[in-house]
Amino acid sequence: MIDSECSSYPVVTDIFEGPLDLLLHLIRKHEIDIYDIPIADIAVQYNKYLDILRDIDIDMAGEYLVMAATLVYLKSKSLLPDREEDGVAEDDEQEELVRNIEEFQRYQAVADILREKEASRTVLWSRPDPLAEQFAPPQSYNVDADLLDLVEAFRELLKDRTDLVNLSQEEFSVEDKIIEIMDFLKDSKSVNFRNIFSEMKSKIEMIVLFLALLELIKLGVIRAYQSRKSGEIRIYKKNEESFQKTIGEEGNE
Amino acid sequence: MSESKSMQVKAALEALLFVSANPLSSSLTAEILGITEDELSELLAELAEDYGNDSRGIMLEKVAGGSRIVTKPVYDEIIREAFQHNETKKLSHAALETLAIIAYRQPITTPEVEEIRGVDSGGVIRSLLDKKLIKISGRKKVVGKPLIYRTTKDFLMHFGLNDLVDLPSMEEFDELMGYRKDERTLFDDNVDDNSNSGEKNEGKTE
Repeated sequence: MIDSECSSYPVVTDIFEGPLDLLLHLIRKHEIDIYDIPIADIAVQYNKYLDILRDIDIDMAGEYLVMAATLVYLKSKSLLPDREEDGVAEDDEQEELVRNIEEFQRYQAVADILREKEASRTVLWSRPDPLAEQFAPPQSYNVDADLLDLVEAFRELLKDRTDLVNLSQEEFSVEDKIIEIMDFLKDSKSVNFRNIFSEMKSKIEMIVLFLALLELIKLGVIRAYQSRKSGEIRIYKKNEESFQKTIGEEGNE
Repeated sequence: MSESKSMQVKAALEALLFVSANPLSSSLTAEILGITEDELSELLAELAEDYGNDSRGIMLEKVAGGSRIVTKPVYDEIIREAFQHNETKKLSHAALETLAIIAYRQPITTPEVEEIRGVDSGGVIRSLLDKKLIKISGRKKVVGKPLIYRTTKDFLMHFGLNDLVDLPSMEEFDELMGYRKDERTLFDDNVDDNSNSGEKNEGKTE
């Protein structure tokens, strides 16, 4: 079943979930045995798709380039006459690719099982259903969080994070972070303010993300609510329409 | 237990199940009711049988290591209509794929998930965290000390699983998909067709 939330967005990444997904699509389409992949053919096919993807979205195609390079490399190796000492290495590399495909395919199958289980679970209701509460934002978040609240929350957050490192080499842009936030909100209606920063290691990155957040609030795409004054802050999509519009714009740039 | 006491305890159990939002764990419930866990599972089985009758709208669900009362699936539609609840809270494919990986490989870090998926997974992981389907369970003692994630009880409840072992084992998958085991031979004409049940491959994988 297609996710009703996701399918409505005009985002090309929906076509393939990543390089392995594309590769797997080709393998299935051409009914290829994963243990005997005609590398040369697949490399050509893969690059054809890559060209299309690149036309749509250059940034996204980047993720697919490593796989393209691997395929071309394996292809070139398979074209060269076998030398004894190389023979072993070649098999190893192809084996690794096969192992990656196997692994990926396994989790695809698990994802399918989970989807079925989810579907049969959503028709059961308990009283009160704690999951329903979680997926629909609790009503108690109805106080607007203003700039001061946000800054204060961010300051608290920085204070709590003693594990931050500063890598001067890293560069972050507000634009990238805006896309990241949108991505984040694609799957859910709202998100805990603190959780947005949970994966970050660098102070600069957190600050840039915070600026992106403020920018989105200014643009009216998202809103910040709290349960009470100085309470926990959650970020909500303001409304589907403007959210989608912004996502569309970001994607087309 | 005498029959009248048994009836009383069963009624008390039903009352507990009725108010509890979370699945009741058997050890705690048995202790509160002053019965053994074996007696409890007997009573639960009796209740389940009672609810099995078509005149009842509820049933027992064994989930996340406990039991709770849920409505029967056929009444989903009228419940949604009555409570004006039209939303379906379905996870995206990326979220399911990531959860699948975390469920089988936990504890696992973001880079490890990304290695399997081949795409950036930070966003989807954070969104799963926010839905409480996964949790942070510490940091891995490697360079950069990445956070490690595990699935939660809510994960089990969302998918109606009693335990993680309810999911098929990786070996079962490999068999189903006709993956080779260790003795790999070159030029094997084993056809991998995972859209089918894998019957064709039975025996060949060994």
